[in-house]
Amino acid sequence: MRRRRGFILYVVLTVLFALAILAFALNSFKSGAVVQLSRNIDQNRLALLAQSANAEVVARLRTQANTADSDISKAFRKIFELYSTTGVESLQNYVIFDDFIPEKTLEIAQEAGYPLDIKCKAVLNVNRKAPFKSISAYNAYVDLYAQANRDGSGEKITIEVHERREVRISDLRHYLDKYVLFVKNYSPDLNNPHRRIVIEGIANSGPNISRVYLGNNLYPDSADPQKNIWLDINYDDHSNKDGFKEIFKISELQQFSDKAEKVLFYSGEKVFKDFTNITVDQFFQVASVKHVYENLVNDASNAANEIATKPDKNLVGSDLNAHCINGMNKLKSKGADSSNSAAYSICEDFVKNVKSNYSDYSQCKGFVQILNNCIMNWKYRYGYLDAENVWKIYDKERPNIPDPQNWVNAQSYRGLSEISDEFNKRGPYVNAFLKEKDGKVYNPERYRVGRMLSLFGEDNKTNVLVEGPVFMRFFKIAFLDEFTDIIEIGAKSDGSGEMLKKQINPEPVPMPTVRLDEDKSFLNTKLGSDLSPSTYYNDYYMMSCAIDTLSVNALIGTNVKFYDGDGKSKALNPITTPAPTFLNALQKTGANVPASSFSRLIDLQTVTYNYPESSDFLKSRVAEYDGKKTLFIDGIMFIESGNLDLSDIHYFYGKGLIYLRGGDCKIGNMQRCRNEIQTGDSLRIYLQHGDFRLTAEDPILIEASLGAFTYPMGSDLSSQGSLVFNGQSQVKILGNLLVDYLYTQDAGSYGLKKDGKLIVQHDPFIYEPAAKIGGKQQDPYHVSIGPVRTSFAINAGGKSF
Amino acid sequence: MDKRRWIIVFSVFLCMTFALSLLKSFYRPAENIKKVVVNDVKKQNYSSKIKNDDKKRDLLPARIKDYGEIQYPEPAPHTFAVENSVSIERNEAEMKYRGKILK
Repeated sequence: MRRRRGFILYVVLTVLFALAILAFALNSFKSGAVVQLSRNIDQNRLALLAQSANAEVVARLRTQANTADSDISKAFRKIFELYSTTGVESLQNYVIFDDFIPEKTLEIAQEAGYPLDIKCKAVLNVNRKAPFKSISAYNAYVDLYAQANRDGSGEKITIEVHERREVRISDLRHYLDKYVLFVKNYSPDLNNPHRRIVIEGIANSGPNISRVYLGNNLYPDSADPQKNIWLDINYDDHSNKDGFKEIFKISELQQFSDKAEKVLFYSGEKVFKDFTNITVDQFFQVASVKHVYENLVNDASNAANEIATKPDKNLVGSDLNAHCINGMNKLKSKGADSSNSAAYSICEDFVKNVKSNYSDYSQCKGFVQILNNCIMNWKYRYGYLDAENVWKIYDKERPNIPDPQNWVNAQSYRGLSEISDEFNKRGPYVNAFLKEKDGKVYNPERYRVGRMLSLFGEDNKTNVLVEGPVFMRFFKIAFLDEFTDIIEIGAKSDGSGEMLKKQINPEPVPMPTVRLDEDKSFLNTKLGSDLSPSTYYNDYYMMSCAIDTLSVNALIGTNVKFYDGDGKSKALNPITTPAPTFLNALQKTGANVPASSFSRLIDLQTVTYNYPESSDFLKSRVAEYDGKKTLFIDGIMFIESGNLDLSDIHYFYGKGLIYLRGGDCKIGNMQRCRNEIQTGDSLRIYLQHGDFRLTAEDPILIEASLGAFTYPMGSDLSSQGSLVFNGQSQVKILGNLLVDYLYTQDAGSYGLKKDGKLIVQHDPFIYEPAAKIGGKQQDPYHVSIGPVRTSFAINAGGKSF
Repeated sequence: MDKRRWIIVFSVFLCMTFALSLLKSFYRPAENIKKVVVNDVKKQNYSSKIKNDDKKRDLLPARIKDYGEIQYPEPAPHTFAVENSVSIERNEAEMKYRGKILK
């Protein structure tokens, strides 16, 4: 028993001794290698946590850099404030924060039971401003410092990790944003009634008004020195416009007579004999007067030839001359002559005085008497109206010439549209401008009549300011009205001889259109007085014609406010301001850059991402968001080449610009995936050498600014930027549209479908990204934080802040 | 003898368990780990806020959007600057160079 107790005691002592040895060994080890080991472990942990903190700071910067009202967002925008107030282009050592505690990193440490004391600092340095005056963008870098300490009693271990990220700070605003539509080249479709363009500008607010530039670059080769754009106003569209009311001052449409169509903006008449500058000889060839005289001579010669029943058709020319001679011979055989026979006298006057192969009656006394009677009795009647009431503009598509409306086929109203061989079956107006001069068609643009694009929105209530050589056009139909009178004819100048009383009823004399550079006649001789009932436009010619000297801006009214090229708020009266209101696109005083050279530059050093191919861009920037394929936009992104196919991506996220240097962009529906008022999301796509090609989704809605300005500009349309509709019927762009040319009707199926519509609504987020919209102040800036570290350092023990 | 050997092994096991239990009970985290205090800005979760504002949208062209009253600021000076041909040429040359690098 004693042996056993001794053994147990021995075992216990052995165990205690072993424990003592273990404790002693551990204590020794801790004070040496273990301390060293634990320091290494701590340093590694702290370095890791500091890097985590910096990553958290980068994430925080990314999420808050473009979030309005955050301190981080305000810090990045300091440079714009500094530049605008002091002109300083750099910002050095601007501390965004220096006591930021990275929440997530601390949580990680806490979960691991690690006593961490950590803080972060971010310092912004702006070192470069984009050198182009149209670009407000900066290069910057942000230095991030994370200082991590092992907390608690005992030894303090500190690790500080530094990294640097490149930053691009851009102001996305650009002068092209102010345009809801900018078309550099001439387009034949601006009056196209079958494929309409509808412009919806921003709601006017003081000098804030959307602008439209319509250019005449690559105008059709023509002899006309005026290479303008004429837009056909339309009563239904524009009668509610202040300018229309002021110019025409009517409450309802007028008519030439009680039985005539109510189609006129104004109907007036003048006494013909009051006209000055025209001469009697200019009317010697007026058919109406000649017919009256021919009728008289026919009656006289029939009487002389004892023909009791008047033939259906009057004789003219040599037949009439022979008929007169025959009649005179018969009368002479009966002893009659000019002294006692009016018929003889009339026939003799004709036979003796008719000239130029029986076509010139100017020497015939009877003819002159009739003409003088007409001059005393004629009333010149005229009225102004739109193209839709002259031609059947909806019946035929361009390039066919529209047929005249039925009512204008009446003799009086044929001045613009008489379909006869005399006018090559095209009507006087169209014929005048399709006739050649110096081997060229005079001006095919002038005859493209129709209905102008809806510049003022679908309800014609939102004004836009139009720049470029653009005029409004309406038409005048004029004629000399018929009358009835009795003339006494046949007597000799001394009053002897038989007198014949004859009722005359000259038919109305239409006033066909002729060009001003054609041989002068009463039609194109400038009258001594203005026929216009308005002080706003002139009408000095008797012919039916287009009144096309007023600016299209005149429809706005008597006052419009706008920012001039120098950024100053101005007001003008578009009706009285000489047309065109702005021949060139607005720009700073003295700049004088032709609109055809307008383009959007990008500063390559402030570009956020560069992609060699469009496919690289798509791989990098397209991901699923909320279950949908979404394009993620982050500032100004540059793609060197390759067609960009966005046809199966219908949403975008973020704010910025895609600049594609060479290639087309296929696009269908494209919308913001987030609420724009909350986020300010906006997309601009700019093609330097390419077209926007719409894909087969009808109708289409694109919420983006689409720009396709080719540089260098080609000499033909095939090498220039446009919007290719590919047979769509309804296309709406919420943004703006900037293209070299815009044909809504094109060869093949490239245009809009017949009766299709292109609506371009100016997005206020594009027009002015700094506006207060929906009660929320929007932000015009975008900050991109670089995806890679450009500098990295770890400092053990030292503290820089 | 075999029984004794097992008693020794069992005793050592018990002692080690006891020692380790004591070590574990004496160990505790440092008391002075700070409670994390994060300021308001840092607490904001912008991504979730934005997501809440998302709305499902109809792909079809809708009505003309009406944003209500909009207040515009004075326009920025650079939005009136039109580039001349010299700047455009310079930009084009830079782009050509960049294009070569990218390719």
